[in-house]
Amino acid sequence: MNKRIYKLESNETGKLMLIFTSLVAVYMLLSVICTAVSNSSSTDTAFLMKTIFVFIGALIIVLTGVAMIKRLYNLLFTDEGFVRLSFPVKNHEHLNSNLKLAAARLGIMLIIFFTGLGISDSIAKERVERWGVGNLYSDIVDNYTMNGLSSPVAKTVLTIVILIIAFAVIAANIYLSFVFTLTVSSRICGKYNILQKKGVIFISGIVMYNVHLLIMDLFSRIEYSYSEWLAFGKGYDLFGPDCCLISAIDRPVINILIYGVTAVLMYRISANILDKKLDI
Amino acid sequence: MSTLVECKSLSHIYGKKKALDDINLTICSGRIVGLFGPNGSGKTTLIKILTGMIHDESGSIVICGTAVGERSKALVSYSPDRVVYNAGSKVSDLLDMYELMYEDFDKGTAEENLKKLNIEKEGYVGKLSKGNAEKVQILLTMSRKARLFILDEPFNGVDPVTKEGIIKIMLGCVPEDSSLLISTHQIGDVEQALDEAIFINEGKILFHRSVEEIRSETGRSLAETYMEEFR
Repeated sequence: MNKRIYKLESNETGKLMLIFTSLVAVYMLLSVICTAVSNSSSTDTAFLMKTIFVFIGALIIVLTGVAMIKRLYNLLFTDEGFVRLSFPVKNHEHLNSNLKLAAARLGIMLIIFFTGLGISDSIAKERVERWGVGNLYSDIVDNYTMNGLSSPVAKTVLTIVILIIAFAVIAANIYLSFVFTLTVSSRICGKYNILQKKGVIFISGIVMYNVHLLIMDLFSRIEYSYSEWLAFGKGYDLFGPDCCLISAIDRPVINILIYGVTAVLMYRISANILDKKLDI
Repeated sequence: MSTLVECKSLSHIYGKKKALDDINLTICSGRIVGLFGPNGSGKTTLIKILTGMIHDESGSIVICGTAVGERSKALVSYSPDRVVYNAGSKVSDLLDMYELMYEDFDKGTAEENLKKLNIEKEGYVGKLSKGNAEKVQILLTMSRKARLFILDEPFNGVDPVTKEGIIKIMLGCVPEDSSLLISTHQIGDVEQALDEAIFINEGKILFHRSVEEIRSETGRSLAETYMEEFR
């Protein structure tokens, strides 16, 4: 039965997502072409052009996320929920299908997006300052080699893998924050028979945002203290040149831990509300 | 006759208000049961609990031997008190969706009935008249081979001709070993079809008896008994 709910979700969102993905693909292709034909002497124009491409490409990806969240909103707060929640599946399967398909689609879009940026960068490499992830590998490997790290290539790959995981975890956390806000709001509205549902979502959203700021501020301070410790030489006594690697991956690792744990917690609470406490 | 639904000491609270208060109820197979009561009496809350739309109840509730959950949802076919389909969906999309999600959905019968009612398969739900949209919802709900059909206010805002059409669909589709629970304020329209009636008020069941018994004991029709009870 699980497969059916995935198929339904895929059928219902397929066309829209195909349009969004095609838009990103066409857009990035345009970015590559424009970079290739642009005037190499004008650094400002190249920078402006790239900024516009990055901004609009990112906007399309964000809109995809919004469209998927909107589907979940329809499930929990509109009459469509009566249809969807009558299906013979556990309620959290609706959440799972929404999350997994959103992750897959956003992942594909991001790969297209960053591949486009990377190709643009490598074309523009000799003309303008470096941009995007296209040259991330060479930047890091140059840095590690210059600082005398052993196995700089392997450590660069490790750094990039950790960066990608951190990026994915942060994106999942942001998505789940919206999901969490919706499910908790739904629970509050059901429990206290509140009809002003949008108001409850708005207030829950503000609370969530502030909690998020507080937690991130706390961990920025921890990370800052740790970086100071590394920078003032004590780290070099312990790790030698690998201090350079540690300072590159400490923040992403902290992000993976914090955003990962809170994402899992938010998912568990949301799934529990959907299965056991929902009241539409 | 086997027991389809069994509720014991079922209660539900909204904030500080008791929507259902210690409900004990048994519905057997092969029955058409009316659920009647004034606005805010707890009818829709009871239906939502039976269909798994509300989970926060106390007491026990069993449908065909299983607790309310994904298994019971496979046995219950439910139509809410208003049209709940996405206005941007085509009727054919809904047919496909029901076919995909419910193993017991009979798409052929549903399509035949749509033809009989002159409803375009390729039409959008949002462009259908209120009566036709209601018909589509009831038709899809009743095109399953479910054990328990639940219709909440199926005649909301529809004209007498449409109402007659809905009643025909409703009664023509209930298999012998299944039951139909119908909640409506228009008692006179369904009275002849009913086997049992449940009167509910302020979250409590006032009585649950066969319609014949009510008629013979009171000497009045069900609609008149309702008026007498709640006036």
